[in-house]
Amino acid sequence: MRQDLTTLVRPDRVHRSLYTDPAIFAAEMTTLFGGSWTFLAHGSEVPGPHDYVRKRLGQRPVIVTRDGDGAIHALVNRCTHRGATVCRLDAGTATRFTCPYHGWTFSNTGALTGVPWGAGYRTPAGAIDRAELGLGRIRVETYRGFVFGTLDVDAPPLLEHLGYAATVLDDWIDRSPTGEVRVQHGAHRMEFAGNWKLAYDNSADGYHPGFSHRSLLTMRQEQYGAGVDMQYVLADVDAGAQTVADLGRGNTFLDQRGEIPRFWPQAAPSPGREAYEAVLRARLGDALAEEALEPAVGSGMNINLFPNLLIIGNQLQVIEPLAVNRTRLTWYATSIGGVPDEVTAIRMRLQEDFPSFGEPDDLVNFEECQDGLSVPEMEWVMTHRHLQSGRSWIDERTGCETGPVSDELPIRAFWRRWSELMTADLKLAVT
Amino acid sequence: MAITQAARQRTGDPRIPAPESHYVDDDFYAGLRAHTAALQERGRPLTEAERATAGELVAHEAWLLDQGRFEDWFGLLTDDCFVWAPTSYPPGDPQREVALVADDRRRLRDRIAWIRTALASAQIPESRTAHLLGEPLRVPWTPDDDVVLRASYLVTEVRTEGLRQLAGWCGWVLRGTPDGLRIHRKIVSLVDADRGHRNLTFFL
Repeated sequence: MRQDLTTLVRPDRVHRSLYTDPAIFAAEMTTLFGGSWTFLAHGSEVPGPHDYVRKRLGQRPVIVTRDGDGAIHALVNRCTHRGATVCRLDAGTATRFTCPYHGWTFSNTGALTGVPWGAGYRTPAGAIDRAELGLGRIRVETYRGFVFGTLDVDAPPLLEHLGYAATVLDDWIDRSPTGEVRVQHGAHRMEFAGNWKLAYDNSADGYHPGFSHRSLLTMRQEQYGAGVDMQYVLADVDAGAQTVADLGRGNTFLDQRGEIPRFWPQAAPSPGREAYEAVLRARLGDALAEEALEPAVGSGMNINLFPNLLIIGNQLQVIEPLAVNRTRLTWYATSIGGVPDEVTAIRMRLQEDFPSFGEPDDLVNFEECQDGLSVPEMEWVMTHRHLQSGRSWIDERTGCETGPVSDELPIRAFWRRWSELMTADLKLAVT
Repeated sequence: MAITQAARQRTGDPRIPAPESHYVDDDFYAGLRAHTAALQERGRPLTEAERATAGELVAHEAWLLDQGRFEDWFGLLTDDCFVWAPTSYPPGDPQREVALVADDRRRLRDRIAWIRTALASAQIPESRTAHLLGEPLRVPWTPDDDVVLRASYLVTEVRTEGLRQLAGWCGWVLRGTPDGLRIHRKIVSLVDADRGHRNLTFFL
């Protein structure tokens, strides 16, 4: 397969089978998700000692735990005896996991602590070797609460992998006056009948909003007039102030902030807007209230961390591939520390806005792409917008290739990283 | 209907200021939590008189939604209405959790206007729905001039291909107005609220 893959990704186009071939999908789940620093969870999902949450690494079932000392672990949710999952609830608090099938028990750091009627495993050499039969452990590292895991034993440290993406992430996190992000407010779990990469492609695609989101923009314009929400995408976006950038190693960034001088005055109207603004103005005075309200609104940043985390607005979107043509996109709602409770209440309602009026149109377009990509005689997906227009530049401050917002350079950056990983000789292992 | 016409008039004329919405505050959320708790208590069948008023209203609501008569449906709601479909099961705290739907009157109006742009890919073609309600039961609530009802709930939807069904319970707070009984609050608690869903852009 490796040889074939190199012919499928070209500088200006990629082959449709990358979106439709079950064998490629299977290889991605193993190699790409296993071999990258893949997002697993946010630390605030396991806030206390012995909290756990159930996740996936590609399609591997995983438990992310916090032990009694506060350290985070990622364990393969697979009993070392016969393979059953040992954790079957989405989240909770537990010091140990007991396999319901034969009662093998593991600590929340993965150690095998109990085997019923263990004498049955006795050999002339002695008792069962518990040390070799702990749960599979995935190498994890954390950056400011974001937990990533990899099975690549030679992967560089997380911070080196993130590179400038860490600085972009800082910008997003530091919208909180205390730098604290909480992923504890429910989620929208949206499923679509399409390949997972359609979601990654879209997240740094500054070309589509004026078209795919025409319904949202028209409704907003008709109901509220100009200047509300993201109407700046209606004009020629390449003449505007948005940009896209290649952050390296498949990580990409679409920055809308140049079009948003102030967030709150421009925000989509949402339930609670007037009432809570009035409360805050009365309590804090105008200047402090206006400052507090700014991060209630989506960040104007799309930060895409290869292969599965899209930080958009105020939400963490996690791409969960279910099959080659089926994907769940889970949008975790967030709140931040250092702001009044009223801001949290506003954030909840604002984080429903795009899932109601924006994303559904994209998801249908992804599904229609999947349908179109089934046509065998039409092989290519074009990725060459602005490839030769001479409009991109190396940003001196960031060191990243940056372009006008409709430049498809993020998509090309994704495919470069994809090809690298899919053709590399990675050694993937649990410890 | 009058409000719908006003909304229509607003369409295309950005000089007319957008409507404001002032009623979603801490007291509002406390009330919504209290209604949600009450709706999970044991209810009693409606009396003959209640069936003719409250029972007819919720049946008519379902019918208007199934017919795509969203402007007429909008006319069944009070000025300070709210529709809530949580992402948790049983329902969590609406003030601290995102929802599938958490719409005041203004956002419900936006939802109708959004569909009526005829530009929403997610509603081309439009969903067809069939709402099926179990027997409405009235739950205790003080003051009792509001009628608080719960019914088992099943909505079947089809848009392109493949029927799908969403199930749970639906609650209503009905309030007397000078124009008659109206829907003050509606809560849709889906059994799979916290699981994956495809396109939910039709009216629950």
